[in-house]
Amino acid sequence: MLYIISGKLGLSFASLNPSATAIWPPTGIALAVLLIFGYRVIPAIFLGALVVNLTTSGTVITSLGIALGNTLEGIIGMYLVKKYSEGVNIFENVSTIFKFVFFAAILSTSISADIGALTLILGHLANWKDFIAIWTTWWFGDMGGNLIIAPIILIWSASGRIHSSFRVIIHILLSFFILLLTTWLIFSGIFPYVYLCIPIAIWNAFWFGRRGATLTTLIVAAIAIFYTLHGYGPFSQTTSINQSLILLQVFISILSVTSLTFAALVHALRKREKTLEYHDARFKALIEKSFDAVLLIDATSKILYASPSVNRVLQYEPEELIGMTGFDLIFPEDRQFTIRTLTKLVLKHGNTITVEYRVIQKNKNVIWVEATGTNLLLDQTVNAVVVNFRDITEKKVLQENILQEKTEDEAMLASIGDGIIATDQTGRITMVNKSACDTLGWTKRELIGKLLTDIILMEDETGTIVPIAERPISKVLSLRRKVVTSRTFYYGKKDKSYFPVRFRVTPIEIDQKIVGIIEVFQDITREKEIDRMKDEFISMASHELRTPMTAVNGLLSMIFHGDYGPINEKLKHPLDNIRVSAQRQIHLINDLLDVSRLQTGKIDFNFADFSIKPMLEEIVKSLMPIAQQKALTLTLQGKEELSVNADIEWSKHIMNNLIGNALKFTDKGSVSLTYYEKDNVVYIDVTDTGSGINLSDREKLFGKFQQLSGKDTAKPPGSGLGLYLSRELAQKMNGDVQLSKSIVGKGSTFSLILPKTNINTPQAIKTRKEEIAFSSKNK
Amino acid sequence: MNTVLIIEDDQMLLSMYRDKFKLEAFKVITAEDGEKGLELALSTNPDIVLLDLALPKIKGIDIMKTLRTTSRGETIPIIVLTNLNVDGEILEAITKYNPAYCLIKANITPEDVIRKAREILNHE
Repeated sequence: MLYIISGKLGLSFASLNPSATAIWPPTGIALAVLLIFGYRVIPAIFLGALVVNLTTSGTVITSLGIALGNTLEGIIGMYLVKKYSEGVNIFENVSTIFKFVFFAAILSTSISADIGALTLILGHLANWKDFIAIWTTWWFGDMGGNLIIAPIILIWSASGRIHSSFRVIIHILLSFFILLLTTWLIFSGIFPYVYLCIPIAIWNAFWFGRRGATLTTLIVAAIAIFYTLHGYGPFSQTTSINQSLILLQVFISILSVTSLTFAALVHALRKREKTLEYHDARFKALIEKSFDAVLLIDATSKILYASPSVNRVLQYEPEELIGMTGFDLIFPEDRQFTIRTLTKLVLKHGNTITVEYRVIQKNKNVIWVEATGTNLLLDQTVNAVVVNFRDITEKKVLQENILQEKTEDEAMLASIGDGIIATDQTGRITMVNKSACDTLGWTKRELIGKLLTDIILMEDETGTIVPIAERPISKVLSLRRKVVTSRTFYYGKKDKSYFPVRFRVTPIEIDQKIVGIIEVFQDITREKEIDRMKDEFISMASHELRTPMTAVNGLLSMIFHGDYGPINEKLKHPLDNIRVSAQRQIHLINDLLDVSRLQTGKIDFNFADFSIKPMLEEIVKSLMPIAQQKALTLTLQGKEELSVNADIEWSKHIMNNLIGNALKFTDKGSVSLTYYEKDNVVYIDVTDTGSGINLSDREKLFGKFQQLSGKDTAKPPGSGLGLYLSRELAQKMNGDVQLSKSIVGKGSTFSLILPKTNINTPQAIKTRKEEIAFSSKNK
Repeated sequence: MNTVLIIEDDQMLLSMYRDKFKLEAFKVITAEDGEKGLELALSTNPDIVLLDLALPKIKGIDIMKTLRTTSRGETIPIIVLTNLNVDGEILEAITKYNPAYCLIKANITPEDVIRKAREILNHE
């Protein structure tokens, strides 16, 4: 509808031909609408153009042709503008304005002029001789439309609020009053200096931007056209009104483009100014609010600027620092280094270097800082070296502590006499200490990364290589638990020799996941040697100590037996004393040897089920002479048929000891044996009517070499090892020996506790060892 | 009359056992080292051998080992008399060479030895 009205208005100025006018706003409207709404407005434009022309003059055919030309012009104009410039925002910068002028105003309008002029001539509405005139009028008319009308619509339709304050409104009103006045003066012919329009248009473009520029153009155009049509003003002097209008059109187009260009320049300038201001503000805020302290220095380290946070790090007020030499703040030892760094930094623009050094605070404290220097000396906005820095003293101290600890740990690991090897979860060596390397003969480099089982071979006592699956490390990795072995294994060295090793392999777990193992091992060659020597010594001692006693004891027994003739009555007593002493000596040696064997794990136990009644009867029978000698009753009670699982010979040894003790320490009364079952274990009680044991003595009763002191010093003393040995042996057989009851003056009860027969325990292999036991234990 | 071969390097013990066995009406042959002992064991055909383990020249255990490989020595009753500790050679003697008895000398009297010898001989 707008198109139609404006079209009719434009055509009303047509003087050359009814369809060709020097003022043709619809072109501008069409282009603006197309640029804003796109192709979907094409039918409306075509229809508008058709209606305008139909209602003007000519036929349907010519009107269709002209409408086609008008529409095509708009479409091509839009296409070119969109393709080569920035579409709707054409008027924001100068280069797109020029593109708009070329594509939309000059190029696309020629199409409409071609088609329009041709249509008129072919439709016999005009003559060929008028072609140039019609074409030019048409072209200028459309061009004017695009240069004057399109910018107005495009600029005013773009969103954006107008800042309006009282001052602004006064400013606007005043400016436009001047404009109106000047334009009226010029075009009414009173003061015909056309070019006065230019400064006013520029003034308005400067103050009111693109909107001001377009509005100015519109006002000038309206007034100028009005007066020109009526024959006034500077443009009305020519031959025809059409000529005048074309000239005016050219002037207004130039005015429009000029003021638009100026407005765009002003706009761009303001935008740039704003951006700069924003950047500046942001830059400053960044520096001021930054947690890091920021210094701007020149190439000689003179401080040009200090941010507020500098105070927190250096304790100086920022103002105090301005003008100071930065190097003066640096710890003397680090000064040379920082000078070198700054020299390197200033060599190239844009260089960035981060370093750590010590600085001296205002209160003379020395702290560590991490500083990043950036060379922006050539940057127009900075003109300095920017130094960001922060206090890292805490971190540095922590680092140094960690380093110190690490060094200490490493020194400790290296100094440990035991070999230490750590592997990952696949068994690859990740760490070895010096002892491990020394012991194995490999260097650290040779070991790291290798599979432990590959590089360190292992043999058992028989000299057979232990398969990888049987290796403790493999077991630890698969079973996830610590492995300590009592067997002796041998490790292969680099030189293929083997040494006995004792080790402990422990899984390294993080969050219940095995990440590797750690093995601690020792070369026990020396210990093995010492063990062997100890064994040899015991063997020798037992042989050498027992042999003389064998002669003493044997010969005495023969003397008493009468093998060397009748004994002098007077000699009987001393000889008997000699025999008792000799036996005591043998007893002591035997007990010592047993203890030593027990401690070195040399005593073997042959576990078997046996009935305790026959065993006890045998012991009672063998000890009966001693009891009778002292006029003591020795009895055995126990109705049940009870079996135990233990080593029968060591059980006899213990019982002999317990009953022997009871007989020894009882002067009057009885020693009675009872056996029974309680809580799945078998008790054999030895109860005497002796002196009983003091409460204070009970604790040390089972210690080594414990002989109870007291009034009974006249009693024949034992080795002091009997009870200790008995208890140790019983415990090794999963039993115990304990003092069950003791009343001073009334007597004591000692019990041997043994586990009951386990039907599942296989019968132990019988050996002739019983015979040794017989001889070694039945003393 | 039964013949006993006593192989014992300790003079005193040797004379003690010799006296006792003579008193008990044994024919006694003695050797003070392993070499002589083995030689006599093979040549004199004793009814019983009293054998010490710690001996010069040839150790008791080696005498047993050699004896057990000969036809006569294979069954000859041997009473091992030793003051060594129970481990080591004693266990080897017991497990490999089938002694009639293995006794710790210090723990027994000559009387006990006679008793054991009689038992063996009676048994045979």
